[in-house]
Amino acid sequence: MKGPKQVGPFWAIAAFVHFLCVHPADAAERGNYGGTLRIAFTGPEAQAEPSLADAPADAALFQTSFQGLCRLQSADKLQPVLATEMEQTGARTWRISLVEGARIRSAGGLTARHVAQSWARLSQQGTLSPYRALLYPLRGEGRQLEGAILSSSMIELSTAFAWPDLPASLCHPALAIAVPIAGGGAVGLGPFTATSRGDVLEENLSFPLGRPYLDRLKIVFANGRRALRLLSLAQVDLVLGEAEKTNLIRSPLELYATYLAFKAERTGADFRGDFEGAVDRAQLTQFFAPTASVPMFNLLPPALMPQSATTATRASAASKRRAAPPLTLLYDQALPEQRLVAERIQVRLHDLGYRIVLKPVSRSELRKRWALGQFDLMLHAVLMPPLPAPALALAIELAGKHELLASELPRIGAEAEAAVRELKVRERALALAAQLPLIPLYAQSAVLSASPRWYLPFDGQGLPRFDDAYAVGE
Amino acid sequence: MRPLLLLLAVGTMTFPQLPTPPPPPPSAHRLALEVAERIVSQGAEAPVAILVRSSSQALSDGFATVLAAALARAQMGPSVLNNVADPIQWARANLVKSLVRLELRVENGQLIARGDLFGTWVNFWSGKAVTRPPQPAAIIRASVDADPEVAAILASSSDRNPFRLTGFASLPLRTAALAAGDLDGDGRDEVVALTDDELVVFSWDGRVLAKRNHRKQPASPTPCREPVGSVVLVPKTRQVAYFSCRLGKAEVLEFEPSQGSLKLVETADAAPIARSGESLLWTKVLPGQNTFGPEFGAKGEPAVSLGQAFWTLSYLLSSTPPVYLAVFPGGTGTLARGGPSGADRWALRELGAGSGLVDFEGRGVPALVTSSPRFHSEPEEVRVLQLTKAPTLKWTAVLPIGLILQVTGADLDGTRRQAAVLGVWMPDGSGEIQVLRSLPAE
Repeated sequence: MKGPKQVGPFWAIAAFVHFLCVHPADAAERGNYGGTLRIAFTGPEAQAEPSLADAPADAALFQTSFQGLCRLQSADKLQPVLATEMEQTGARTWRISLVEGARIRSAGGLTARHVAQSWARLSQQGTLSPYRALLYPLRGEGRQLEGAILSSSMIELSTAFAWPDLPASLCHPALAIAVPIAGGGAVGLGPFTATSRGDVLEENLSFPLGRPYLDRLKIVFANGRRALRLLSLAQVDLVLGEAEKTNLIRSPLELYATYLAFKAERTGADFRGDFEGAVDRAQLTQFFAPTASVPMFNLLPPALMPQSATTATRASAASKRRAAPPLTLLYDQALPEQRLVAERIQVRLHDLGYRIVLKPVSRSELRKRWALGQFDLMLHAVLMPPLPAPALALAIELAGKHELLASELPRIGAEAEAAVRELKVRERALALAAQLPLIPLYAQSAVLSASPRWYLPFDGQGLPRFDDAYAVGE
Repeated sequence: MRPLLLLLAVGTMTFPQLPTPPPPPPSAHRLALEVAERIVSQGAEAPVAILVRSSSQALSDGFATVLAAALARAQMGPSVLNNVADPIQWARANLVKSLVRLELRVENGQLIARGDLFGTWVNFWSGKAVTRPPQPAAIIRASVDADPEVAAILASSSDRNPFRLTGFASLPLRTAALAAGDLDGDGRDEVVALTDDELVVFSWDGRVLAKRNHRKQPASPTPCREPVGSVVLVPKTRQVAYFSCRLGKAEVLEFEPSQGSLKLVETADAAPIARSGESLLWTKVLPGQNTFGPEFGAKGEPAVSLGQAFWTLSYLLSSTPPVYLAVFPGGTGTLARGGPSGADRWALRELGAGSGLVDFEGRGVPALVTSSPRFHSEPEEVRVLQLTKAPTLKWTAVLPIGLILQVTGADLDGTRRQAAVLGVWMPDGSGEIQVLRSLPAE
């Protein structure tokens, strides 16, 4: 080589690559791949049943390995996940193509039959769930989806009446695809896959949206106080379900709505009035369910309709109820705040002559008792979809008034304009509030605390998206 | 290893901050007070957001500061919007009740502020419909005699801006990779853009010359989470080589200018990342990730390693000696010039993922064009650094809308003076190709 002009470009590259000086930057515009996110999870291990993993923390964790056909990026923007396309082929018909070649570990390729079976479980005895209301607009209420299967990767859904919110409803986490396996449990398809070590989830390279940024998630089950201690000691990166004020991250959407369901024939006709007079929702959210909760006065949470405070009714005479048998209040034992709220209700109503016995039960037992109508009082929480019309359907179902859906939903679905439909829903929610044996209490959002070195976005359902999370900075 | 190669660092560089705006001249001050009075008298409801535009950012900032102070004295709870993509949406999201939009200009010796004032409060009974309230709503217009200083600032500021950003082409999806080169031999570069759906060859003026649709091709079993790819052009052989992470494979195509077609020559599993003369240099792709390498080289030749996986590799072969820029995950980068020995190399940090070398002057001296180093920066920033000696910030501007994903240099005029071609990701998910041109000095 005689001079600089004869230096070939390849050699120039070869020379320059010998030098490498890396200075970590604070952040950059693209996501960074790799690393392990250590999550302390404060709840009990969720069951492999989409409709039961519905508390925000449970749903967030569950979605790491069980996804549905789509997910919401925002309330009105959906992203196909296990579906490649959701095409509206007629006024009330949608054709859904599943991702080709997607495989569920231990269950083979994903097929339309898996989708039909997963959704049918919501209406089956034993696994009956209020989330079946999301499928109510389908012909046959989504019970006989076998007929809708066009091929192994295509399914055609028709609604019995106009229901423009159907595609968005299908993105609800309770409609995730879960395939039961021999020996109990279920498997699904998500951005992470379970490993032989129960506490470690590895990245799924063939997840249809692309592998997650993280290589793996490590889950530590711990109670709230221990979880926060682990975070302060930097032994975990994130606490799911618990936060201190200093490092609280909360989703902007409070969609996990808790209601008090009652049986008027057991509680007496004055129960609603007595409750409204005795229990202050603002106090409940301030002192008893303080983590990311807002009082809920109407049938739908504040994220879906503006709230108007219920006027307190004068409590009725207590003496009449002295001789009445005690009422049992069932609540979800996996949610510590429900115990506090149940105790508060017990104390406040005691002065009015209500004798209430508290009974913590598992979520599956709670749903079974709900399905059979075997309860006096029940604290019942559901994850509302971020759209008012499907949310109202869910609230009506939760109240045990399945038959009301037939008269209410077609009138709402007939409104093609989303804004008009929303107004209609508000109007019906106000009108139905007094008829339904359901007292709205408060709504919660996903809550977590994390070290600031993690970028963690939320989806349109208000849940953290762990597959889009990655480490930033040093 | 030769010691020379180990001691070539220039050091870490952090880009300087912009200076704070100077106080506005007296006429702008008087005008701001007058405008504040009008806003209050028109029944603006607090809190008020202010958006001021003029051809001088410094004057706009100064004017907005004085106006905000005057409105604060009138208990209007003012806030100043700076570089907000959608001011009305911002106002609604931040519970601002009135928005004032003003433009400053000089006409016939008068400094004029004109614009409007309107309510941004949405009645919740409107649902998702973004209705406007009946009041406040007013046209704002005020003027004062302009100081010569203000007149000079507004008259010359557009001329003093050494760069101009213009639109080039739009795409339905955001770009995964961009490249430019003279494929048809007319002396002007063509621009080739890759998206997850197609590969498009644009002429120098933004016309579509050829397309290759790969939407129907099966997706890779290990697809990428975001559109990622690479495009390398070999002008002499009219070859367009590209790798799409969605497809998980590379294709080498031959562009036929007379027919406007792209003919498949070969496919490959590796990704084309650069060229050396007429031969393509290939690199490995990490499955499902947005990074390449770290090794690359020509087929059949020993590969060299960058030591770590990289996002982009940009190069200017017309420079003597050639200059190379590699950007690594995290926004670090290395700039190298010269041959196997005696070259100077710089370690850079705070680079954006959209970074590239552009020879604005056409003299073989590249400038570094880079986006904001922050993730999903709002607003996005484009920065131009001179690389004559140590990298120095020459110009910076805020992108009105969108995020910069790729930067490449292209000689669109046949003058050897390159323009920076930017792949911009728009908020609606679509892609836009924009061109940043250096304006010749007066």
